[in-house]
Amino acid sequence: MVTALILIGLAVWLVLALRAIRKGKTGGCSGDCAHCGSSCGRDGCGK
Amino acid sequence: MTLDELKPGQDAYIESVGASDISLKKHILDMGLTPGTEVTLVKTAPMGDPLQLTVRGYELTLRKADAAQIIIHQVHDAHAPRAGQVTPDIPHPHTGEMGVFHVRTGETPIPDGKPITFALAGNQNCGKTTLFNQLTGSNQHVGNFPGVTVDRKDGVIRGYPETVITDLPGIYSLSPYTSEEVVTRQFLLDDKPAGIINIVDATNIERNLYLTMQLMELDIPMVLALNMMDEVMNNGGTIQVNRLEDMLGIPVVPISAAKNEGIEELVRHAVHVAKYRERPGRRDFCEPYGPDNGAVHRCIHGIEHLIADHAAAADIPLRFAATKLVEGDPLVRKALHLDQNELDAIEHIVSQMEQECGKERNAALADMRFTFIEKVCSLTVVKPHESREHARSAKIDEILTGRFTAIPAFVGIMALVFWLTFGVIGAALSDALALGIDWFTVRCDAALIAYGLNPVVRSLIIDGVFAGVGSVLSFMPIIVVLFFFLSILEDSGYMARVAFVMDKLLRKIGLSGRSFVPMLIGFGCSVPAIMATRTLPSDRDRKMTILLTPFMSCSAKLPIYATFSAFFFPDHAALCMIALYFTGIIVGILFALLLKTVAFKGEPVPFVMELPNYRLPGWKNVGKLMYDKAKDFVTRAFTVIFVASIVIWFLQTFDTRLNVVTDSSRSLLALLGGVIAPLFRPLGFGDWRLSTALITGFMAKESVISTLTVLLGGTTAALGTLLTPVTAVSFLVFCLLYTPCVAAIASVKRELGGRWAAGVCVMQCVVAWIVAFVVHLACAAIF
Repeated sequence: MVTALILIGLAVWLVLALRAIRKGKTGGCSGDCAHCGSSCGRDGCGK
Repeated sequence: MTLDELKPGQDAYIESVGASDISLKKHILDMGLTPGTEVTLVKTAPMGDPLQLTVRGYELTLRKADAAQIIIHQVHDAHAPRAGQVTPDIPHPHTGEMGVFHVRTGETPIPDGKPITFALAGNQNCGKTTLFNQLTGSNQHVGNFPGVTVDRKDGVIRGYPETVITDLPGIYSLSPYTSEEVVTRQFLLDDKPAGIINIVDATNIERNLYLTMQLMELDIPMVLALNMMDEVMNNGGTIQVNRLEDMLGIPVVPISAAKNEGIEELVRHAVHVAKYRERPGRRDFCEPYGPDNGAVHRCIHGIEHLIADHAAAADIPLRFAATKLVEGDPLVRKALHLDQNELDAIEHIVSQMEQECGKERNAALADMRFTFIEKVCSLTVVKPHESREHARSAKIDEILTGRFTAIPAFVGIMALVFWLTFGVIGAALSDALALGIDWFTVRCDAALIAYGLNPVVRSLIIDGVFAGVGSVLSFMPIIVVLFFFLSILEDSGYMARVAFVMDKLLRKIGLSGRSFVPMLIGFGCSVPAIMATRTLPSDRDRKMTILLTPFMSCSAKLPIYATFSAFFFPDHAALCMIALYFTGIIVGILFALLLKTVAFKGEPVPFVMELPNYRLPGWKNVGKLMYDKAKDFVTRAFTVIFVASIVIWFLQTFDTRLNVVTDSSRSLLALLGGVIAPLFRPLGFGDWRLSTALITGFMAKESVISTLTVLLGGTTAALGTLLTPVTAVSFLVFCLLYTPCVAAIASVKRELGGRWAAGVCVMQCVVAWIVAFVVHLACAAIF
């Protein structure tokens, strides 16, 4: 039972991770979050 | 006498502006350096170029070669700005308000429920992005303006769900010479927003109003947001808002975007003028009987009469079209479809104007606008003698941009940043987190053994997932701390000074000082650094900066450096990492020199840049950035690194017949890694495990360490079996210089196209191989 839960958990995690990779939502800067690209998520950069 | 001959501390009046390049000349005029303007030379950069000038109350940089084309006269010693006299304000005109002041006759408001679109426009460094974030909160979407690499941010104003506001790039005028300027005016002319919110830096109002006037010529309902009013008041200055509103004919709302003051009033006025289509009260700023005897006035109005039908057919505001034709704007000329007779007539009219007023056309137009602005400001603005912020900035700049202190200060600041990141704060937090992860791993392992879980599944969890993800997670504090310091440097205004100081040095390698900032950001992450090159006005500079950015070692490589330095050079780990960073910089410089002679001949972009006052960083912004960075890093660890760790574990656990192997050299991974391992033998690290780790580094640089950890049985303690200190150095150098991660390559592809992206990939690997080979030979010979 515990084994099954562990394997299912790993499988679900793997599927979610692969989906995130496919959609480009893997964290790290995609460059889309700041209009001047200076640093992700920043405001007040004055541009 | 020319401006480059002025001595520090001297003032002069501008007589005429030369400049062979029309876009540079226009930019110089747009920044306020018009004939008759007083300018002060504050200092020269430590290496003698560029110059730092004060004009119209703000600081500007200009190269000596460009200053040599500006003729000056009446040189005298610098004096404090002349303080104006307080005039009584007039009653509030109530422009853009409901109630008894709202005239309903003939109005055609936007129907309820229909979207009301706004454009947010303003200069750089005026707080535009801060205002946009205050207006929209998290209701933002980031995309791209079509056809150009300029970002576009749209959002919904909080509390007004029917609105959409677009944050336009920071620009100084609506001329057609940079992609930001072209994109802004195309958006305003084609997308036809219902209203414009023009944000203006009240501490620098003269230069900011230059764009305001051009926006008003577009005849779109508009509101002026006077930002940083608190700074003006705190420094003893004042602005007669009512009189300014009356003179401009548009609502003027004082705000402080950073303190979220006045925003609600601003939005109410903006929604009102947009909904009820209340256009600016004036669009005509030229004097019929001014100092030029009305020459500019007659010229513009003459052209207006000539092109009225064409402007209506092309749906371009008449006044805007006329002034752009005077400037010789090719885009407007093309859009109006004028015949040759009309073009000739326009040329005659403009030439007549130049003859009568004694100024070249662009200078005459700029002069007309600034004359109006000076008249408005003389009646409405009382400037303090010198703002506290400016005085403080000047004092700090005595050291940070002083002739003999600028470079040592920069080196010292960067060394302090790196030492605090790698040696003190970052390292201590990282070690603590690593201990925590190890403790958790051991507990889980014990629990799984006690339960009697299948050994293969247990190996997947402990040797695959925990080892791989855990080895990378522990480096999060170092990365977050590095971004913290880089963010402070940028938020405070120091980065602009760095660009100023480094301009002459960068010109030796074919770039301008502006390129330095994206490269500095590259020490955090290559992706935003590549995106930051969008602020560079020339394609040549942009391409070259993008090619050099990967040489600035990104933070994702820190786990590699930290692990290897701690293992092979435990007493000199921090020094080793700093040496790696400087190696990257030196190789980048050498590569730049090569590019300059082979592929990127020609001069870098002119360096005309504003130097904002130093500001305390917005701690809320910095805190948000650190949280976002940590979140990004954890997300990456639990997605990319997790998948990579499982793949690596699988390939190293099973052989070609899917039997569990006891000797990993018989595994699938050894087979794959063995194919390219011979390539690295000349560099001293021909083991298949190292070459496999390098391959996974293409997905994410942190994977190099997670892969090695998995392949070495869950710990990097056995690194000594793969490398010696000498070969570790060449491995580190290869990691420093080889292809960036797939996210960075994707950014290059987005900016420059697929061929350039492939080229960067191959080029970095070749350079990394060559340099690592040379380093290996040198280290082997010495040690």
